[in-house]
Amino acid sequence: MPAATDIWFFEHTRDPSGDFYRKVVTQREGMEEAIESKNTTQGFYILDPDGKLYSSWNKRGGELLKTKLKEVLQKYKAPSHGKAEEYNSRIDRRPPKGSTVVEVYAKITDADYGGNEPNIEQKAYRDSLGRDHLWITKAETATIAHGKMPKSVANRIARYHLNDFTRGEPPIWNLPEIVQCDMRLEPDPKGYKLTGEVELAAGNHERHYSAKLYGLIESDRDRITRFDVIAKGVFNGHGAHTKVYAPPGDFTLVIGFKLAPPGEASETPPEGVTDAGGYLKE
Amino acid sequence: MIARHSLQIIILIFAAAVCRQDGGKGGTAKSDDLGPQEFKKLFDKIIPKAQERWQKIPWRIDLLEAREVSYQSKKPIFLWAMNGHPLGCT
Repeated sequence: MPAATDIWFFEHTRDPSGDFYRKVVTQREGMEEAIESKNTTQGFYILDPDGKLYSSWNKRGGELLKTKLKEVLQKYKAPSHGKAEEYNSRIDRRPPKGSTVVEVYAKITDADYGGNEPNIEQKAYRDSLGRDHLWITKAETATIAHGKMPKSVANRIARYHLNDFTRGEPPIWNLPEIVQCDMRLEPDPKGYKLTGEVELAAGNHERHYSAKLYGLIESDRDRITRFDVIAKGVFNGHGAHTKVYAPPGDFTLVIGFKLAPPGEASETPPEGVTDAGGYLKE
Repeated sequence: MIARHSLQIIILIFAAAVCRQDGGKGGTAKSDDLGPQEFKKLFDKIIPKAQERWQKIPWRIDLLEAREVSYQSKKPIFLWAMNGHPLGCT
């Protein structure tokens, strides 16, 4: 039973799912102290549904993973059927009912890293593709489907998604850090053409992104059936969690948007959702 | 002659300043050429055409749902837990 989760959610919530997560990870050596000291509990865990931990590690590698899975399967004893507690809807991070989910990708297409040939790890970071999701509420979806770009969606795209998330979690842009955010829809033969200009600046321009947007949006009554959008611009700077192998100086950052296919993985919450209310507010 | 040289120097300084605004240390970083053709080229380059192998795994993103299915299937839970969602922004 493969499961994937963002540990922020579980480390910060006092609900059945958070309690269950803490019960599991504290069986791993040193993790009780890790939670107390707010160090990371990230890693891989193999457990039974009662929460008994069979194995855990935090090193990547396919061979190691296969070995661990084989070891556990040889000794695994499934508990008799229990009942998982109800999810706490107050902190539910599922997309709101009737909303549109859009896949978001980030890639650095041009940067000057200096003359040295990158090692394998550096190359992986430089070539990496960032992934995230954008949520558009039912009401916002209907507005876009009828040819208007809501300010709330433009701001959400700017604050949470026009960012360098190719090497991990960047800090989101605060509302006052939006210098410019103009996005508009114009009729196009098949739907609407989206164009826009966005400028974002944090600190004394220590982190900065100036981008243009272009895209094609199609709709069927109140539904969005196509959301193909590209943002391209000059970025500089990094956050505390994205400084490793960050390009020095200015670089070209491209962000791509495409409607997400149906399925469980598409319900992965956007990185900026620490609680859905804040993400969907402005 | 001196005036002509001065003009050339001023033009060069101005051109350098314009390049700096647009490109800075990255040299060729650009944002001013995004039209229909560039859009199509970048869209084809950035957006993956097919699912990658890890995406074909039927991940559960709700831990309590994963527990229910684990009880029913009698199979253990393999949990991938990260700072930042493993299926999203990491």
